[in-house]
Amino acid sequence: MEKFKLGLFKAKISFKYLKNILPKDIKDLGTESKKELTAAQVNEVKQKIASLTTHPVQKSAIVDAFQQALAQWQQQPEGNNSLVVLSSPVSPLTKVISESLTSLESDNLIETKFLSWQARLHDYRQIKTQMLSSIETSTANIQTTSESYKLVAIPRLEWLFLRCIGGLETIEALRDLVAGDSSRFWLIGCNSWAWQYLEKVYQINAYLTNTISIPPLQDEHTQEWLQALTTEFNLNWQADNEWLQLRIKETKQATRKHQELDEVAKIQKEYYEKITDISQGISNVSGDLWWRSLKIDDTNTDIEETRYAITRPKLPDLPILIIEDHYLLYSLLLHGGMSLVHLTASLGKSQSVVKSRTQYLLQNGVIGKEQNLLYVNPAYYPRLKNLLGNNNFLVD
Amino acid sequence: MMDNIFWLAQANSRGLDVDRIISNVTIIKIFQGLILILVAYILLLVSEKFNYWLSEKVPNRFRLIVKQSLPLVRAIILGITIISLLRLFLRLSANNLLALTGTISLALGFAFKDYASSLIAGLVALFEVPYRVGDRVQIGEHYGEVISFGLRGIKLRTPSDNIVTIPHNKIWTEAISNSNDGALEAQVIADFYFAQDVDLDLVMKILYEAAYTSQYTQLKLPIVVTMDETPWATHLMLKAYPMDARDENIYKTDLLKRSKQALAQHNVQYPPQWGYSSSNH
Repeated sequence: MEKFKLGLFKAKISFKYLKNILPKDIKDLGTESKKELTAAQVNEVKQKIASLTTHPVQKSAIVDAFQQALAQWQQQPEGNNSLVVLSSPVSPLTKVISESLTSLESDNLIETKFLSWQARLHDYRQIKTQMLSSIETSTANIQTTSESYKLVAIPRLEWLFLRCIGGLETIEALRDLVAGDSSRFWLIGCNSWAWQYLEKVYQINAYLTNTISIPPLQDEHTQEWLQALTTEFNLNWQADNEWLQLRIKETKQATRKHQELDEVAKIQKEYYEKITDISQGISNVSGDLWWRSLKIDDTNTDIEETRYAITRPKLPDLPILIIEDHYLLYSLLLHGGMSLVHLTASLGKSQSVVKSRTQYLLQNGVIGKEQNLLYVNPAYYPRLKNLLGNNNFLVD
Repeated sequence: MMDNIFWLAQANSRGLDVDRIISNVTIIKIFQGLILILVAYILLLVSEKFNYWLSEKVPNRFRLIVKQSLPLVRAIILGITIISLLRLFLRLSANNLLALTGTISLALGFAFKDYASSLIAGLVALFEVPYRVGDRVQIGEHYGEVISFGLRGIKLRTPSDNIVTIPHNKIWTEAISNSNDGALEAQVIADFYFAQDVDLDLVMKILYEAAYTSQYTQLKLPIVVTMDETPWATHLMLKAYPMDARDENIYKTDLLKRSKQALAQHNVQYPPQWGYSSSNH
């Protein structure tokens, strides 16, 4: 009965929340003292999130897999000489891989070639040449011993191809290069959607057999990862009245398992459980949802310094999307960010058609633009994955 | 059937015909009957509109399932309405039912043979499923998407956006070619003709790439290029599936357009045209 009442209460709250039909006086209980962040504040918060280092649990997973694959290769040099790190299409793979390599302390590593491209080359027909020259300029005269090794790291494999005729030849070249070069170990990062696509086109798994997926963050990992920001922003955790009502009701009726924790700690625990759950443990999605749950707290007007309140995290709703948007968003996720020119080439459409839909998606916040690169805002990823999967697209 | 007619004739001769079968017809019953027909008509309209709306709202993978439920819903509505009307106006004892069946059979046999045949074929089609709403079928000379499944026939939307009505009784005599048979994908074949000394490796590579890089391609299904030789050209067929069968025409256009652009960049030779040579200039 208690459970039923709790369920009924939850459904009531959710329904009102979704339909936005709460009477003004009740609806405003939790929001009257909170304002949205300004654009400048959003930028500041986003920069701080971007500067967070990768969680150690993810770095150690990569390092462990790397050392294991490396040891196997050193024992059998003609065997598999690569490790592919797979992630979601919205994960910052370059950063994860470079930080993992930094934490890798190896005296035997005598040379690292890190393909540190910040984007796909503008002329995609030059990708192959550029990639080969970046990799082949290795100091070939350095001789390796049985324990020492050379490493080639390609953090974003999806930036080496463009889904159009003639845009895939770099993958063919790389596949043959890795298979034929037993003198170097290859660490390759790739988003899982691109990996699935390349598997369909080139059966790439047959060549690069060692793969590891970046492990999703658990509740406590998300909390640890965002801890620095939480401390810095001096958050008010008790400002969302609606959320608090729900939580207090739950606390009263559920088993008192967190009784030892103080009130704020309980809210924090619940917050991180929720954000980890809806972000599917993807750090970038968690970060994006974190700043979206931040509000300016005006409860205490005596204090001059801006105070922030945190509200219940939730995935942003998708705007009305037409089928052309599905193709466009799939292409953006597959390629992991791209320019409008590349997007147009990958869709085989005229730029005017693509541009109008891009503007629509930009205005609705589904995608963003940074340094001329279009990308899907991470907070929308879980809903988009679901939507595209249900519409017959090849997703993770 | 002859027995039924004979029985009915005997019944008529004994003056038992109308009174035995038809119950008292009153104004209220007529009014109830009209209300029933009106309600059924509204329900049919609403179910059709709702079904169409819902099928376009749900994710693609559920679209055909929703569409395919419409004939069943219509059959249920019509079935209930007909039974209700019969119960309202007729005394349906075993003997009466037999007599009525005989009469109806006789009438249909002579006057509405084709209509009855289509109705029965429609019922058979519900269970044998040679086509469903959303399928892309070829019946006789007509090809298109089944957009409606009625009692008497189906409606096809052709690639030129014409609506063709085809009676169900075609299933007795015509071959029905169904491209997707309830699936969301239907194979598309793009035909290419090249000069006989064409670089086949290059051409096949381009065709495969055209399919793998088209935004419409269903990557979960196989892509194949097959070849045939004719006296005047080498014929290559690119066979692939779009993610949504409704995109088949635009998909084929996309494959042809991008392939031809890439082939032109490599100066691939097409077969010489009949009756045309450089000496004609």
